[in-house]
Amino acid sequence: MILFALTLFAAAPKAAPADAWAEAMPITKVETPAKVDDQVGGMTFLDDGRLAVAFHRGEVFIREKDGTWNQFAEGLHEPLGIIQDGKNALIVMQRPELTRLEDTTGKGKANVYRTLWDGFGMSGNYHEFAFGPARGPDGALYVALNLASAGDGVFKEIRGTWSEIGKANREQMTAGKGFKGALAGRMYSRVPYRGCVMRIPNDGKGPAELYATGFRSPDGIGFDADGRLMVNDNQGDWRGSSPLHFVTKGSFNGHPASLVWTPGWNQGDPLELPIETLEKMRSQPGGIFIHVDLSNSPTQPAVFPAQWGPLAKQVVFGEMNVARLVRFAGEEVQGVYQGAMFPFLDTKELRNGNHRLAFSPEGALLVGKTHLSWAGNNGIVQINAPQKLPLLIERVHLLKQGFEVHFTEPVNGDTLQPIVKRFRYKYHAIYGSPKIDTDDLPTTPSLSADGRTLTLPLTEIREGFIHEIRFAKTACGQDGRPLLGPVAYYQVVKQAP
Amino acid sequence: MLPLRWILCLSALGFALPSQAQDGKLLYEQNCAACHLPDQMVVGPSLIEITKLYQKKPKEFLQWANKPQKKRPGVIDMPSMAHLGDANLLAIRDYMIKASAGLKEKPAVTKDPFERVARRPEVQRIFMPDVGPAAIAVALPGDLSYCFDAGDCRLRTIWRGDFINGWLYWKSNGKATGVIMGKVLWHLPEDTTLPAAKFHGYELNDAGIPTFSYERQGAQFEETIEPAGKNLVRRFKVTTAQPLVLTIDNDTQASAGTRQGNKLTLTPEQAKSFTLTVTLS
Repeated sequence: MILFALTLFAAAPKAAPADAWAEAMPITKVETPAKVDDQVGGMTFLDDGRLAVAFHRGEVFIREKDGTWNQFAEGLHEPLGIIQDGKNALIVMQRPELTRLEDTTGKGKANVYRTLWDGFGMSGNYHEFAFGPARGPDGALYVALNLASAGDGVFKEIRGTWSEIGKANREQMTAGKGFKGALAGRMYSRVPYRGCVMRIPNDGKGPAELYATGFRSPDGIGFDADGRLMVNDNQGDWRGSSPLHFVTKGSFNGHPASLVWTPGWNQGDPLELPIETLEKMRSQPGGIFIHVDLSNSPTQPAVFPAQWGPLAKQVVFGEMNVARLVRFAGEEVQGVYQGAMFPFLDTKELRNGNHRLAFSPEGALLVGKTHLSWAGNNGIVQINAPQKLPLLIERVHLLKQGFEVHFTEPVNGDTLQPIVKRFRYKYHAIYGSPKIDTDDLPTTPSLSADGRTLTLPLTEIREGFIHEIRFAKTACGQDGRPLLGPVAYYQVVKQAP
Repeated sequence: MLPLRWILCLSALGFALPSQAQDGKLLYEQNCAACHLPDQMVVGPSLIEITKLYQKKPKEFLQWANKPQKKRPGVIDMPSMAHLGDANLLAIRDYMIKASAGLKEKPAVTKDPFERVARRPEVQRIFMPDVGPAAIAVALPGDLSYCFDAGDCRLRTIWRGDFINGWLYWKSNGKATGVIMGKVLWHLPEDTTLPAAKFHGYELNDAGIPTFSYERQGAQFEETIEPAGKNLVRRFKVTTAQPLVLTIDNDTQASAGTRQGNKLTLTPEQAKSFTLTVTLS
């Protein structure tokens, strides 16, 4: 019997080594400016290849090609995003406003801090972060405004018009002994546009308009390779698991608190609306970051450049809590954009706190870290575009009855052992959700002659469900290299025709 | 031998072994580690403290994790972990007890590891006490500092001494204000009757002193605030078609215009360039 057991053990294919990701894509540290709290709020490459970074305490530094850092600006209030705007100017989103920083004297340091847009409310609540800007193909800037958290109340003195909609009045919402957090709603929107995505046309000159409602803590805003606006949100109340929304104008994206800012809103407290009503109103996310399995707290999206071969035009997201990134590959199905998420750079060597992502002109991925006293980290790491990618699931294509899984290279079909499941999350006011309605889906896989496409026929595809396709940890290519990130989570919003 | 064979088969196929509760360590890392460290209070209490509270009270642990309440002042409320289920929560509790065994509580970090050398002038936007949330703190050459509120576009606070300590704000996620490191000499309370203003930003001169731009009721303001001996002078350039009416306090003297009590009226010509001097003790 012992002999048998040993034989079985030896015959079993080997699982990928724990550090296979780091071996395939080495992670190196980028030195940050000395004596600076190097939590990264915003990071972007300039046209000339230099790197601009906004740090937690309000400094903006530019990293020259030789690695030296020069300070460009200072004194900003929690900047959480940065883009270039012409030759000597940057635009940052800081807690109170969208600001254009310009050097008009040629000294390499901004002397003009011009307010582009501050027409949103601030209650003083700590959770009212401001994210963006992302520049759209229409030349407009898009920003996303965090809701306030019932973890605390509001300042006595606020900016913007107070909304009376809510169970607690302003006195009860004011921080201090009288604060009635239990009445507030887990996350709340009592000053304008909290929980909304705003569009500020003409490179931020305005006038600003409300673009979409329904967000909670949208620490990820960007455009994909085809110009779709992506906004990802964080698991919590009304967010069973963190969603990725492809946002259209006028859409409601799930978290009810911000509905009060809908022009002409006359339906009272949105938290009191029946779930069925909200369910009918909301846009479905095109992808879901599976809580725990993929990401607890997703951050900025970045589009893979050409140097990443088959991954070019796909999207990579940061993740705060776990040492991992998340990759998304989408497709249009019946006019809806949806797709699959995969673990990426799933290695402890990456560490957590992965907040801001930027690709260099050479295709290197830079990841800036933060924590803001939650789980996370600080500093910047770099991952060069690999000469040869590891074996990956390239993308997943939805069929009328099943899925087609495309691999980046030919796979050894005997090692795959695919298991297909479906599940979904509850849509409710409670924080998070278990996976519900889980079902195993039997399938008889078939591999294409070139070994790169696996077809998984299913008897039924259900809309509103995540379809999980999991391969054995020992799955490998025809050359014996392990399949890294051997799982895909496809969010079916629409069935294939 | 049969069980061994089964274990080998299952692990070779990459299945997890079936069990009622999942791995407590993994569950902790995935659900709790964002706010709880083993040996130090961060967002929530350390595992050492949690162990002290619940080592002999699994029922109370479950009650808390399923339905947390407000307990510690100044600490964020914990979200309910009911979605994990009692079996998993108890696995987390077991892990927390194990992980904190033998550890000693580290004091919470109290000193700013990035404390900066004082320099003047300096501009820092941060939450400040007793003003609106869009505050701008400025240290002037000498020993005066002030807070300009970019929400109502007014000079709100003046103090003498050191500048600010932002550590309480910066070490957290925004749940604190900067601390004034001097003696407040002058402060304006909120004025809800004030017509709305629009803030346009600021420009730093070669010395690094900001000039604020804003508008109120059609008048375009540029305001530079500088020390003048032991006092503080506010230099204005205002473009307006109408006479400019400002409310000023008893400590403030105007270089131009007609004063009636606390009401100062300037013609559009006078408004082009004038100063307000705040007399400070």
